[in-house]
This record gives sequence, C-alpha cells and structure tokens, in this order.
Amino acid sequence: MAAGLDKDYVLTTVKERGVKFVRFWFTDVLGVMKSFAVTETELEGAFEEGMGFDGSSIDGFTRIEESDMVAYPDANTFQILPWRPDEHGVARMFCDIVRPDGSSFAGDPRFALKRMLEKAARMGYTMYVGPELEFFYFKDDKSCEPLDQGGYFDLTPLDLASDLRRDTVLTLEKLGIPVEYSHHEVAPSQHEIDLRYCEALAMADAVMTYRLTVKEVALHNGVYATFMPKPLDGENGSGMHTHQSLFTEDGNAFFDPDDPQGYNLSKIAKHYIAGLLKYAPEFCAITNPLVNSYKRLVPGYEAPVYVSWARRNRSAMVRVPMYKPGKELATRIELRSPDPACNPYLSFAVMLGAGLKGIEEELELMPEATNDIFEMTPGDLAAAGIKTLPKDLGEAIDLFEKSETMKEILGEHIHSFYVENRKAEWADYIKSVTPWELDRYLSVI
Amino acid sequence: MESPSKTALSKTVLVISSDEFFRAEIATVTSIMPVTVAWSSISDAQRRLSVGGFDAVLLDAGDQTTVLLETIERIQASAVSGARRLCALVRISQARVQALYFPERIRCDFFLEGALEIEVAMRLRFLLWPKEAPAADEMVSDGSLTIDTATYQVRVNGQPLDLAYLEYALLAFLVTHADRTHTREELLRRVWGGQYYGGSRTVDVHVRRVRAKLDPASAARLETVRGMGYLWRSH
Repeated sequence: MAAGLDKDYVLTTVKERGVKFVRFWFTDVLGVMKSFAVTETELEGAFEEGMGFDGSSIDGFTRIEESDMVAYPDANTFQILPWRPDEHGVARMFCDIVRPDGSSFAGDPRFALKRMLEKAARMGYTMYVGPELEFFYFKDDKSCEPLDQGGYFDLTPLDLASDLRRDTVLTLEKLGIPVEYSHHEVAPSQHEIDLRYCEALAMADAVMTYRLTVKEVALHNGVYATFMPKPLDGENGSGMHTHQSLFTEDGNAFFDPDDPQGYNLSKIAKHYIAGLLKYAPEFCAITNPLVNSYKRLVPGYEAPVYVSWARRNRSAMVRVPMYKPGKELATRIELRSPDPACNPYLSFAVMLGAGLKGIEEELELMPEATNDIFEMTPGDLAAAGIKTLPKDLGEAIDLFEKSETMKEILGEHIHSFYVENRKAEWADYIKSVTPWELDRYLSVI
Repeated sequence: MESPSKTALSKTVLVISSDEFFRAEIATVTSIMPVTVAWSSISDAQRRLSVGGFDAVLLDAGDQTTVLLETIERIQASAVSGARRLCALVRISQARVQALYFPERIRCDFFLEGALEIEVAMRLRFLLWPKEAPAADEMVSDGSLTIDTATYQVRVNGQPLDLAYLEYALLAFLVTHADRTHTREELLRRVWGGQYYGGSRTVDVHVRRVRAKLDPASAARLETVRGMGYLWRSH
C-alpha cells in the first residue's frame, strides 16, 4: 500500500480544507481515550519524527523515570470531525506510541493488537470483527432516570431516543464507520447500534470513536449515555457481542460447505471456537474489566455464564448465527461475553490470541450445548465438563494473573500493569460498605 | 472501453520491470491518474515494445536500460508523422545513473531507486501532461462530482467530502476509469498496491464507507455488478 501517498494526502487535505488542528488520539491500557491537538504547521514534522509527550501520567504507560514517549500518527486514520463545523476545521488521527529511540512500546494497546494481527498474518489470516455495542440513555450522569420505558425493537411515540440514535448513526457514517442496524434494546432506555463488519484494527479504532460519538451526541442533546455494563438492577445489562471470523486470500476461513457435522464450519473455525472456550475464563478480566461487569454475567438476562457454544441458544457464550445458512461470507461466530466498558484493542487481541492458540494446538471443539444450560444442576454441569466464567472481578484477575497465555498474548508490561491496577480496584471495592448491606442488615442486627 | 469524455485525457503507460514491489508501487501511483497500465518483464520487453499501443514507457530495466531506450527511439523514428510522441521515465540505481544516456527524439526523465512515491507520480504526470497542456487535465468532472487529482479534493455540488485516504483512492480510481466493471482483485492490486494479504473483502468494506459519505445520487452511481465487482457509472 502506498505509504508515501497517504501522508501526502493528509498534508494536502489539511491545507486545502483549512484544517487548523489535528487531534492525535490514542488509548491507555484501561481503554480510556487520550488526545492532544497538533497545529497544521507541526504536522509534517509529526509524520517524520512523531510528537513527544510525557507518558508518566498515562495509565499503564510508564513510570516517572522513563516518561518520554512519542506518538506517530497513522495517516490512514485521518478523518475530519463532523461535529465541529464552526471552529476552523478539526481532524483526527489515531497514533502508534513508540519509545524515543524508535523501538515499539510494549504498553501501547494498539501495538498489542497489531502484534497479534501480525501473528495471524504469518499464519495466513486476517481478522474481521463486527461488535454490537449496547448502551443506556439517562437524563443525566447522577441517577439512572431513563428517557423511556420501551422494550426490544420498540418505536415509542415522541421518541427522543430514536432521534438521538439517528443523529448518532449519521455522524458515524460521516466518520467512515458504517452502521448495520440500530434499534431499541430490551431494557428501558437501552439501545444498540451494530457496526458493519471490518478488519480488527480499524474496528478497534472505530469502537473508540463510537463510544465518543454516542456520548457526544447525547451531551449535545442534553442527556447522558453510558456504557456501564449493568446500571439497572433487575434489567438486562449492556454487552458487546462480538462477531468475528478469519479471512485468507481465498475467502472466509470459517466456512466449509462439506462440514460432516452440518454446521458449515471449517476445522479452523472449530479450533478457533475451542480456543475461545478454553481461554475465556483467563481473558475475562480483559473483556469484562469492571466490578460491575460481573453483575451482568448472571443467569436470566441473556448474558452468558457458562463456557459453552451453540447455534440456536442465546445463553451460550459463543453463538454461531444461522441467519444465512450456506452463504460463505456470512459464516462467523459471536462471542457474547464481552461488555462495552472494555479496551477494544486488548479485547480483540485476546480473542484472536485465544482463537489462534486453538488453531495451533488443534483443540477439539466440545459438543454443542443444546439444552438450556441454565436449567442444568451443578452436578449435570460438572458431568458435562461445563465450566463457568469468573463470578467476580477478583476471581477474573486471579485467573488472568496466573495465565501464561495471557502474558504471551499481551506481553509482560501490559499484563503486569493490568493485574496491579485491577487488583487495586477489587481491593477498594470489597472493603466498601454498600447500600445493599445497609438496607439488609442495619435495622435487623 | 473508456467513456467518451475521458479518451482525450487517458494515456497508456507500459511498465517494464521485473521487480514485484516496484510494480505494486506503480499500480497505486497510477490508480488516481486517468492512465491505463500495461506490464512487461525485462526479458519480454523487446517484443512488447514492438507491439506498440502506448504513450509512455516506465523503464526499470537495470543494465538493459540503454538498449531498451534505443529500441524506443527506433520505434519513434519509424512512426508515421502525427503519431503521438513517446516519452520514457527511467528508474535507475545510484550506481548506474552516471552512465544514463537519453536518446534525442524521446522526452525522458529519471528518478533514483528509493524515490518517494509522490516524486514518481509527479515526474510521470509532467511527462504525460506537460506544462503547456491545460491545467484542467488534473480536474476530473462527472456531473455534480468533481475530483481535483492534484489536491486530492472531491466535491459534490461544490461541497467537499471528508474522505480517508483509501476511500479517496478507491473513488478516484473508479471515477477516472469509469463505465467499466473492475473486479475486487483488480481494485486490490491497483488501489491497495497488491500488498494487502487479507483478501478482497476489504474492497467491499471501503465501497460501503465511500457510499456512506457520498450523497444518495452519487452513491447510486457506484454500482455493484453481481458476481463481478464494482463500476462507476459516469454522468
């Protein structure tokens, strides 16, 4: 691909369109978007030498002693921002973070994903992803007061939320993020916008942009959008069901019309799913990063609890959709456990890493879960060899800490920072006194 | 089969090279010009030159450079009067540049191995459309859509589009090679330079993005040809 022309494209467009500021976007280890603005006169230098910044205040990057970091913009991600028309044009680019000596920086989540993608490329695969991100609209960020009482696919009258979704979708399309579906979800004031399938790195960038856009449009309209996994007790939580498949030069590597088991899944697909199932308890701390994430992963709310896969069962952790049986391009699998609070770069990296391990180790896929597993007794589950996902962040971080595979996939730097950070979060949570405890015990004991 | 308004502008470049990476680079460099590319290896060059049907030669032939330039000069000399004047752009190594010799009758230029793509693009452009030609050659106009290929700016009814580089490159290629179906594999080669290993699915992804950014009338002119590829229907 023309490495020189895309930079020239950016420099020329910035001049032609009168863009005065370009925002350099990158992500910290916890998935928080970071940004600094560069003026157009600095841009050419930024392409040559990158822009230096102090990495010690960025979570998971460096300690004070080794704080200088350099951000190199990826010219391919250049995009004029559509929501700031009155200011002199503003644009953005995603950045790769490197050390001042030019060596790659192990703490950069974008680099962690790129490393996994390179491993996949060496094996002949490209990863395509399509996440379904759910979120709630509330009147503000102080309480969970919903905008409506609607349900799945509802079109409520005076539907402010429909307008918000429409504005959000139009903005996303202008940002080069095509949308497949958008609709009201099951819980009151809960919505979903599904992003159209594309390559994993571009999609991770798109998820970061998406979260910002949803919040920006909400703010602009005087309401608040949240990606918190389980804000409402007794209602469905917000997930990030992630459709994924591997492509080779010849097409979809997951498709096999001659599958003896009749699933249309290739051997590669089955190994990949087996990899996801084997390592899910270990990568759960990444795909479900918050204390609150585990309040969502409980029975009864269409969120997975057990490590299993199925075609028709929505309580399975991995679902193989049957919408278009026999159509090659559509063959893919859906991992239903992740939630939208995760760092998308790290999440896609661990999903891909687990899947590739399944392929390398030629793991055998367990039988399809056909019964409603929530109805099985613990005895039945144990007999069927069905494991459960971690029940809380504490258990998740323990499994993640001990996992050699996770260390291998994410690298020592990110792995150890993440363990330390999440352990501190868990330690702070378990010593807090919650309203539940006061309600339950204060007047009784 | 070029659309009538474009035949005057469109030129044919014969690329003589046995370097796979260079060929990929040229595929991308020319993708945003109204240029048809023909390919030849160095060993087949003499035969291919004698077949004719090109306006310019992009010569990357190492120690065969002088011999092939002489062949091109002979072809120009024996051409009928009024035939198009040939030009040659030579890619040469630092080691060989001092021995480079340009024949009289051909308009020639050169660049060193390792030159930036923008330099190669501009040298080719100056050879194909010399300064005395109207500057309008760089503007491609198709109904309400205009593409200024010199500044990469696309406008619909005067309103600029906010495209990413690959979206621009794909749209510019389709519009400058209009009314002809291009397969995904061809688009991958020309726009992505054939260096993309993930298969042609990415072409569909980018077409979808371009359509999303175009107004509905223009988006409708970016047609899907079932089982074959994509086509831009000119105005």
